Amino acid sequence: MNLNILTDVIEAAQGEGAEFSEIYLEECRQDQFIFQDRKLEEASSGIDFGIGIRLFYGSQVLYTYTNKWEKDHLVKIVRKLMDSLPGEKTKKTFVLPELVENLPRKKGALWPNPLILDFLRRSDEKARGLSPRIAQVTSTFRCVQKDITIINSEGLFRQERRNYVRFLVSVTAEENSERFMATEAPGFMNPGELERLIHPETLAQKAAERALLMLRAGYIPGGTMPVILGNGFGGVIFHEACGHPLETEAVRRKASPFADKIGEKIAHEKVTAIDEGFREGDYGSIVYDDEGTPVEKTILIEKGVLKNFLSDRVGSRETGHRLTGSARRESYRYPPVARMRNTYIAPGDDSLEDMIASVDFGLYAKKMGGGSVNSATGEFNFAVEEGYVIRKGKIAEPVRGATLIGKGEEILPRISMVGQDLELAAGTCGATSGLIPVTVGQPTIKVDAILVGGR
Amino acid sequence: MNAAQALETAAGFLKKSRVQQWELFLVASEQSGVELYKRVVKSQELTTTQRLYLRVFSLQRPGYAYTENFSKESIHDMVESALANSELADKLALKLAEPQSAISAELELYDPSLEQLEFKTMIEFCREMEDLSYGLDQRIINVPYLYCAKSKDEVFFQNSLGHAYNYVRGAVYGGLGVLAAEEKSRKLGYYSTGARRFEFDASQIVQEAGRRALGLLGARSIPSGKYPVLLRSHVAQELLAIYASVFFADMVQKGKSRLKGKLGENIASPLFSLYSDPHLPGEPGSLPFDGEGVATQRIAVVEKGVLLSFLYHLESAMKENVSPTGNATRGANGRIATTFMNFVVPLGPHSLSELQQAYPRLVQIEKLEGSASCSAVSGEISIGAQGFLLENGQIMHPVDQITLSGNFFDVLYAIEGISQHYDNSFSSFKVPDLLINGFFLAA
Repeated sequence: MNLNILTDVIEAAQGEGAEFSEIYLEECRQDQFIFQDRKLEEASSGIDFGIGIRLFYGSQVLYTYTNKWEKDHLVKIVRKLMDSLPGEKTKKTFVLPELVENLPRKKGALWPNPLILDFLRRSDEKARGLSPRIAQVTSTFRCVQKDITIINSEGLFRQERRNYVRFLVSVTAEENSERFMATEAPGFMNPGELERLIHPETLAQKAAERALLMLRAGYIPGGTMPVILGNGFGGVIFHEACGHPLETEAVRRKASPFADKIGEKIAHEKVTAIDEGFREGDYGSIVYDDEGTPVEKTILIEKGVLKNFLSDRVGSRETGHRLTGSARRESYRYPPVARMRNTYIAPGDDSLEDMIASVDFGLYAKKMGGGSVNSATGEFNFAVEEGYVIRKGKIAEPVRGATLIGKGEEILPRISMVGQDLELAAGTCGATSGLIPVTVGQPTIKVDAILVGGR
Repeated sequence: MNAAQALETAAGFLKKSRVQQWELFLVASEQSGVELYKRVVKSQELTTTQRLYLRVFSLQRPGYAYTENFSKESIHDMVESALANSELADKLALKLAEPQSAISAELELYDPSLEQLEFKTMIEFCREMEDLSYGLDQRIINVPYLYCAKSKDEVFFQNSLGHAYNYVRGAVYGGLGVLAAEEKSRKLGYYSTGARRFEFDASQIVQEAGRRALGLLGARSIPSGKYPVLLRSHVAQELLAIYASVFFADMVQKGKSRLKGKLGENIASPLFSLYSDPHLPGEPGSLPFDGEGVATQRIAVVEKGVLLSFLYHLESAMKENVSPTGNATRGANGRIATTFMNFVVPLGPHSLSELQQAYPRLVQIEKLEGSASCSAVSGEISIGAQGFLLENGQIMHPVDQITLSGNFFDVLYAIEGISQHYDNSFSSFKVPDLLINGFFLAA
């Protein structure tokens, strides 16, 4: 489209009295391939295209989005929004950016189809070949190329092309009408050679072996106990229970237990937690955030002391905390808010063996499933996809169906051991501004007491 | 290019292509809404969007594509992408929906009065809810979430067999989250509702949000063990929604439902019946046609505990050589999936009070937290919960830090009582309060 239309809209918005105007233009190509029932069940492609216009007026934020890019339509909806505000409005000053289109249009499939089909077939064959108890394999290849353009009334102009790839293998094992499904789902941002990153047989084997193991697993007796949280996706607990309340989106609404605690000790001294905007290839990476701010490495907690919140423009304005390049959104359909990117607990110096040996009776949550948190109260709930009982300092039988429940602010001081084996894993985070790619991570850690839901 | 022009353009490309069958589905939406915090408008949104979905069958191979860019070039790219995708897919000998009529009854999908609902009214309504919240109880210290919004969708469908229809549906939504605090205890109570027309009772919405927060203040755990459990209607809706897919024929066919081979058998308590009912006037899951153009119908899925039918779209019906039930829906990328068109468990004979007194000691669940440990494939239920411990029908104290554990397929048999009440939250899941004796509570 003609980018000059966007500057015309900025000019119109400022002319109607907006104190700050910002336009987010997005064109996104998505391809998805689903292999199920031993066949390619779906091959689909789509173009998401839209424009999000955000206007600040006093303390109010006005937002509109549309797929129609005609100048008259855009100016009309801006005027309609501004007209809804009370009081007399005067024209505000602005700086128009210089626009240089640098995202060449690319047509057609994002990755070679034969390569994708090969990945899908190999994962299916590997999983099914491991046991007759494998009842179903669903392999999904999803790739996205997102071109974004951001301009604002302060003269900012940014363009960025983001490429994402996610490969998911879900394996269902079945025996005597019992079923268990396990999933492996690596994801990458701006990947190079996919063959180097995606190993279909390894992923299928991991998922299948876990499904087969858990199919026959029993249940852990419920209760409060020490829990060793495995590395990698185990970091989802920190992400949900502690990371979300550290976003200014929660802080500005006073809906965070950490709202007034900068500089205070909120975690065990062994805990240092980081949210990093860009890590080469990691799924949660961005170069600029969705307001055009360059990203940074943000120290959230250092040796147990709360250092920073994650802030976007609105959050910064309302809480006084500096911008951290954390404004994110699923698409033009959402105004940006402060969200996490690549979030992890930094490695410590404890070993897994020492952690296990320190527990008389507890749970080793080797692989976590998903979870959720209520930011306002800090209450969280997480699934353990692969768990083991720890008995007298040794890993014992596998257990399924365990759930971890607690409050983020109460768990942080109870992290008493931090391992050396930091790993990160891809995930999708859902919150106010939609579903976004993130990375979560941690080394193996020991939490002295968490409520474990079992039977 | 507007919706009609986009459809005409796409159909023109398709008629000239090598495609044997095709299907276009277009949704054009308008939304507006406000969010307030401390009486100030924090966010005001006004949106217009459109998305055109295409499914083609070329040499019986399906291909999917969509676009939101209604330029001639982008629509042409969409057609080319769908064709390219069809070359990769395996064969599927599916016949698309023939022209057919829908139910003639009025489904009340849209009320023109919504056109007159302006920002100003929505803002005043939010302020009323906020004022009522702070006036409800001194322990309400914050109203972090407060909103009102309206939406209107125009849906257009046409396929290569000459079947075409369109309809308009719309709704208005409003709700809030209140944060209550007492000593060290903090609880968030959230309640949101919707309707086809703007006739909300702010007081009723605030009372319910307040009840959900205030009642749970000072909650504590209880000893682990088996307890009879009373799931309040809104909780029963949330829990059953997690497992709705076990009744979908495609899930059964793919080995992802334990109900395979159970048609005609008892799978639940004789008290339990379940319908997919798309013809309830004004309800959010009501529609004349499904996402593939099949006329919708009321389906008895379970009656008195006996499994009578699964829900089908065209492909899953073709695989079993049965008629589709009109339960197809389209996902965000246009993929066909199965859905309930209103998930309806009929009201039972009991008052809430009768159910509360059914056991000398029971736990009434008011809130679920997360569903990641729940699996429709295995039936596993392991979910955080909060509520009240009741003795002889009287609330003893609020309860939190517990998990509700069990298996969905066992829980269906363990339903012992159903109330005369649905939660009034404009949900397509209509499930009354359920008394269930089959959960383990871990604390």
